[in-house]
Formats: sequence, structure tokens, C-alpha cells
Amino acid sequence: MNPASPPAVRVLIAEDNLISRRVVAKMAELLGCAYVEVENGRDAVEACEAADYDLILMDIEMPEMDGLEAAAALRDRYAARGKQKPRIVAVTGEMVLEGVGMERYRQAGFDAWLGKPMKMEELQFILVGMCPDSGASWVNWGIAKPGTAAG
Amino acid sequence: MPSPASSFFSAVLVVDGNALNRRMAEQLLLQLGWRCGLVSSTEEALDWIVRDKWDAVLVELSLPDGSGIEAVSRLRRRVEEAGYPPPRLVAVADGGSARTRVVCRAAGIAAFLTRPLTLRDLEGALSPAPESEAERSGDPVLIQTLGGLRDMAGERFVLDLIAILAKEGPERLAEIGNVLATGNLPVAGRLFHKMKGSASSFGATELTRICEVGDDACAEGDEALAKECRRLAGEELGRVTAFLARWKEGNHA
Repeated sequence: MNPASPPAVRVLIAEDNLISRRVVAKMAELLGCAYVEVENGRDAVEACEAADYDLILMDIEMPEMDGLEAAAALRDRYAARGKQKPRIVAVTGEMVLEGVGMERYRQAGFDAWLGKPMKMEELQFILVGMCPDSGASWVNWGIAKPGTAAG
Repeated sequence: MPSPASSFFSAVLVVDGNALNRRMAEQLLLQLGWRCGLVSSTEEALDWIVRDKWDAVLVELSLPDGSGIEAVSRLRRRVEEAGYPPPRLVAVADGGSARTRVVCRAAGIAAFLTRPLTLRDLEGALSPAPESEAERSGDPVLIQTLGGLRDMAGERFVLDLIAILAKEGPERLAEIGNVLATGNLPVAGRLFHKMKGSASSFGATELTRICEVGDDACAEGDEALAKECRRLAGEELGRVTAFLARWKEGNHA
């Protein structure tokens, strides 16, 4: 096993705002992810037909199809095929997300949420927790992955 | 009722329906060296506001005899009619939605405080730094976010983002103005939302809040509030871009 070349986490970034997309893409890049960017929920659903992703970072309010609809569509499609759904993380500018709001996200098929402005440590935390097999984020940040020999 | 004569101290009129809250405000104000008058209703406040020249008015937002914001407008008119200098207006509430804060700002309220009041909050609200100083210091979340982005991805990356905002912000604002003029609130709401996305990526808290309220106002068909939000967003965008320009210079220095 070569710790220098772990499989990159495949991340799909769905975000209509250019500045937000740039920031999220830069973080994903720095965390060693392979990423693809789309600008709305419909394109996110289509992208998942075309390729496999480990993680989707999904903005909520987007044109064409919003994040809640897209997450629900993905949940249903993967369930129909009996396939493991990628982890879907809501990226939201909502200032307070708790109780009813949080439950609505969960029911739509989201596995976690990140607030804006997004912090890299938070994204890293999500990546490491949700995609433990990838190794990329651990290596990039010099953190020894549990169970692997150093060097 | 005693009408305080002029004093060495600056004077604050406290308008609050709750006796305990009035006493607590008085205690804090005395500690800060302010003289104060305590009244419990808008009607009383309208009487007291012209008995003396008040430097500031501290108004509870949920007064029993009408909305605090409406009370503020009446008090302001009364002062104008009397030919007194306008006092600094400070609103106090138990909590405050983004909307309440934006509506307060639109009504000319200079500061918004939530209970429990603290000496530090009161002092900041009553004796503000001069505008230029406040602009210079910037929004702490914005400063932190910029620093974080620079540490993460380098200065070039942050400067590119600033350039996008400097171009996109005024364009979007003009677009919102045009769309609001035609009464197309759903489109205006989407544009507010986009601007909110950019603002929140920078950590520009106040601009984010104004755009959020603008988006909500459009969804609810409240055209007047939407227009007010567009005006405030313009003000705030100016402040944010001026700060970003200084931040840019500071980084090159």
C-alpha cells in the first residue's frame, strides 16, 4: 500500500454563486479531492448519472432545481437501483439551522450540513468522517491515518 | 414630574414598558456616567422628549401601546418639530430577527441591542466610533474570513474573489433596482439571494442579513421593504468594498 497515492475523494460541487463555488472548489482542491463543479440541482443529478461521486457539496437555493429537490431525487434514484448513495452535504447560508429546519434536510436525503462562510477544517472534518477509505485528506494535512504505518 | 435641567452628563431617555428593565437600564447608564429619564410608554416619551435635549433614546421595541419602530418615528418627528438636534436612536429587544434589524436600520435606528444589556454593548451603542473609524475597523467576521481564505489559498486567490465581488456587486444591485422598478418581485428575490451568497462567502454579515431580508420581502410581496433593502444593500456594499480595497492595500504594504 502506497500512502503517497491514496484514491482521491470524488466530490461534486453544486453551487450557483460564482464566489462561493470558487471558495468551495479551492478547499476541495487543497484537501486533495478530485472535484467537478455544476451550477444547479438538475445538473447535479445528471452528473451523478454520468459518474460516481463519494461526496456532494450541495447549495440549497439554486435555479432550475434547488438542493432539497436534487437531494431527494438522488436519494430516490439510488434507492431504486439498490446502490449506495453518495454522501450529500448541504451548504447553506441560513443563519440558524436546527430543529424543524434540520429535520427537513435530513428527510430530503442530506447527511450533514455546513454553514457559509465554509471553513476548511469543517470540510476536512466532514471528508475524513464520511470518506474514511480515501485517505487523501489525512495525507494532505500530515495527519497519520489510523492503522497505517508512518512514512 | 421632575424635568432634569441641563447637566454635565449626556442624557438618555429610556422608553420601556417593564419597570425592572427600566431600572436595569438606569443602573448601567449611571455606571457609564449618563443621566437618564425613565418612561414607560410612547405617549409619555412623546411628552418627555421635548422637555429636554436628549443625546440618545433607548427604545424597547415591543412597547405595549404600539410597535416600537412606529414609536421611534413619532419621537423623531416630535423632536424635529421642536427644532431640537436629533438624538441617537437605540433599539432594545429580547431577541431580534434579521428582519427586525433591517427594518430598524431602515428607520434610522443607529444601534440594535438584545437583552440582557451589558455595559459594553450600551457603551458601544451610545458612544459610537466615528463613521470612518467604524468603517476602518470592519466587520470582525469579514476580517476573519479574509484572513482564513488568504492563509488557505494565498493572497492571489483572495484578490481574485474581491475582484469578482467588485464587478458583480454593483451590477447585481443595478439589476435588482431595474427589476424592482418593474414590480417583478420573484426575480428580484432571486437576485437578492445571489447577492447574499456572495456576501456570505466573504463573511460580510450585515450585507448577508440585508439580502436575506430582501429575499424574504420579495417572497412575501412586500415591495416597500424590498426597495428599502436594495437601498441598504447599496450602502452596505459600498462599505464592504471600501473595506476590501483597504484590506488589499494593507496586504500589499
